[in-house]
Amino acid sequence: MNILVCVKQIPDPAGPQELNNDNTLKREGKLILDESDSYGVEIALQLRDTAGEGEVTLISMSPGEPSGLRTALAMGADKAIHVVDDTLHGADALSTAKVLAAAVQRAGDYTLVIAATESTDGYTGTVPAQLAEILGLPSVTFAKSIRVEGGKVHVDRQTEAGYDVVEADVPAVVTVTAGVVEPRYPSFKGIMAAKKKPLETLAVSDLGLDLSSWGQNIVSVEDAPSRAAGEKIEDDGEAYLKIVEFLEEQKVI
Amino acid sequence: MDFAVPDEIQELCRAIGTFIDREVRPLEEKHREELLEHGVTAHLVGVAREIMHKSVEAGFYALGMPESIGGGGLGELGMCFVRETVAGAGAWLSMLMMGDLPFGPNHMLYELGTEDQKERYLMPLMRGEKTTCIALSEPDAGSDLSGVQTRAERVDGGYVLNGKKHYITNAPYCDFMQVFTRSEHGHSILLVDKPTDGLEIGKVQRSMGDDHLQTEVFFDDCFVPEANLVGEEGMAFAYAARFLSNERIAIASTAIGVMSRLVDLMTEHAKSRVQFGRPIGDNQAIQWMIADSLTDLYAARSMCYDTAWRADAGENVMRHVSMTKLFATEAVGRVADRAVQIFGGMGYMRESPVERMYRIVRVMRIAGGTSEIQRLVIARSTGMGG
Ligand SMILES: Cc1cc2nc3c(=O)[nH]c(=O)nc-3n(C[C@H](O)[C@H](O)[C@H](O)COP(=O)(O)OP(=O)(O)OC[C@H]3O[C@@H](n4cnc5c(N)ncnc54)[C@H](O)[C@@H]3O)c2cc1C
Ligand SMILES: Cc1cc2nc3c(=O)[nH]c(=O)nc-3n(C[C@H](O)[C@H](O)[C@H](O)COP(=O)(O)OP(=O)(O)OC[C@H]3O[C@@H](n4cnc5c(N)ncnc54)[C@H](O)[C@@H]3O)c2cc1C
Repeated sequence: MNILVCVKQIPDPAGPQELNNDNTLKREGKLILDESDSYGVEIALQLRDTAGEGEVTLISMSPGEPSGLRTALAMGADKAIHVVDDTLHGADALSTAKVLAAAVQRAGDYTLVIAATESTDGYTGTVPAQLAEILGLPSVTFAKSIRVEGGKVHVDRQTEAGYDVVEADVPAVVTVTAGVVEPRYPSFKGIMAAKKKPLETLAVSDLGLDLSSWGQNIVSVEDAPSRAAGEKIEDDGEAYLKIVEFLEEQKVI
Repeated sequence: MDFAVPDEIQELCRAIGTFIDREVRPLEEKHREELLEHGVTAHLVGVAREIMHKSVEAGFYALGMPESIGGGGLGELGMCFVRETVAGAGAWLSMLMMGDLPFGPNHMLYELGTEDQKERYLMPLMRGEKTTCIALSEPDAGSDLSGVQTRAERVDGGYVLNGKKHYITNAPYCDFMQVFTRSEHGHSILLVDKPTDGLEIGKVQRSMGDDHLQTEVFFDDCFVPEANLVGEEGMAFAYAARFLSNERIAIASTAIGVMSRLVDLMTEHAKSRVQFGRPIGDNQAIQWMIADSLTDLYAARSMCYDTAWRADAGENVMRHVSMTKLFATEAVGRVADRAVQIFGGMGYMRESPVERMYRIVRVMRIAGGTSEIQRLVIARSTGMGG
């Protein structure tokens, strides 16, 4: 079973985050594999290994070195496609989806495209659904487990109350919720092996895309308003009633 | 000479950092709380095994052993970076994920072990199925191992051991021991299974490190088959010299990891603790302690990388290793002392990480050859006698 996994390479969230003059996020320095995507990679590897055949191919669009892709290759993915092109600077979610779709179409036969529910840095959570739309494929979201059987993908789809059991024809685009599996660690052997795995670097022109009419301008960026001071309730033994009342007012309960 | 950390090692260290955060830190918290509350750690062994097994599974165990037997094939320099990461993570239990001496596999068994010994001892160590210990020290033989009294008497089919060891790390929990003995033709190293008739583990010798890992060991007519002799009879001194130098670089790079953690902690505290209306770090007296600590760290690190690089290049680094172990372990002592000072009363309190580090680093100047013995090795390497 061939599986494509969209993985985002992001600046280390533990480090300082800075903006460029055009208000986009600085993506210099070493980019890492978005932790959100490590779950999708793990699930893809498990599906491949259960099937006993096929390949896991990574697809990523980002500036710079493929350092995050290497981490996923070290975990055990078979190959990677990296779209790097300065003209993509500041691309919005739809543009990103178009680029990823074009890369998917170059990747040969596949059963599933896996992505995370949302990325850690941009977290619009819109790219995978757009990707499915462009590719004309079913889109299944919030998967906590994935099984492929009899030409269909069976997904336990997380909901607030529990989970739905969903099935769709393959190929399909499935997004994976963070924390649903324990991603394996890239071992040293895996890291060394990753250096020799195929990694294709593509520019926009290789994808045959027309870039003339897209892009977003980020006009300004403001700090989030600081939280207003809360109300202090002295506990005279019945403070919980006031809290219940407050929550009811807010229609939370 | 280029000490830039190669990409793959950076990647490895990042993965190890994630492993420590996810697998070790939660256990460390529990372990620390238990220590604080009861002064003992009943579950340490279980916790240690859990960490070891997870590390084996993730491929982080025995990274310094050759690839041909399932190790990582990392050289000394690579191992320095890894140990710094592990020791610098501030989770003491993470040291157990390495499979370092004395717990895990070592180059002595790899290079001198017979096929049978490799199968029975080395490979189970590689897989984390067994752990071991190294039993050299005795009440009358510490720095001077020529004083070892534990006798290995030749009998039909093997040896009979009589004697006593002490301060042996991991003796109570290991599956077999590597024992330094006095035999007919000089000193010899024997592998002793646990349990074996005539082998008895004494009481835990409680220490400043609170790890409950050291005990006495008694041999009373304990039979060891001939097949368990390591290398040749009478060669134990040469083997110890050749294979223990490894441990000395390991101790030095561990000291460096701890030092870098201490420097971070003290700098943070100096910037945030306010007295007399300003951060204590605004005082030159405090700044100098930090400046001196950074200098100690830089010097120790440079020595360690240089020594490891030379070792990887095949140089005889006996003197370098001793200089590095001496400097790095003395330096970490100085830095830990300054850290306690900068933390003030908090630095002396059990709940502060600095207090624990201060105690734990003290042994680095003693085990693996004391500072005085390192100086002796360095001086003797010039041809001076005495
Ligand atoms: C040169 C260049 C500069 C860029 N500059 C910026 C910038 O300044 N700010 C910014 O926010 N983004 C930047 N991007 C990245 C791109 O704009 C974002 O990926 C896009 O906006 C999607 O946003 P998101 O993270 O909200 O996606 P979400 O919809 O939250 O992502 C959900 C999932 O979709 C997949 N996915 C999303 N994006 C990618 C991707 N790029 N590659 C592979 N899989 C992906 C992942 O599985 C992800 O977890 C840049 C990209 C390039 C090539
Ligand atoms: C926590 C811990 C774990 C240990 N684990 C192990 C283990 O797993 N296996 C094992 O075999 N041993 C172990 N040891 C023992 C350790 O190796 C010895 O303590 C160490 O070698 C020093 O020996 P000693 O204690 O007998 O001190 P001594 O040799 O008695 O030394 C006492 C002092 O005299 C100094 N001295 C000795 N000779 C000279 C000289 N010629 N010139 C100048 N000064 C000198 C020493 O430097 C020291 O300051 C451990 C010790 C500790 C504390």
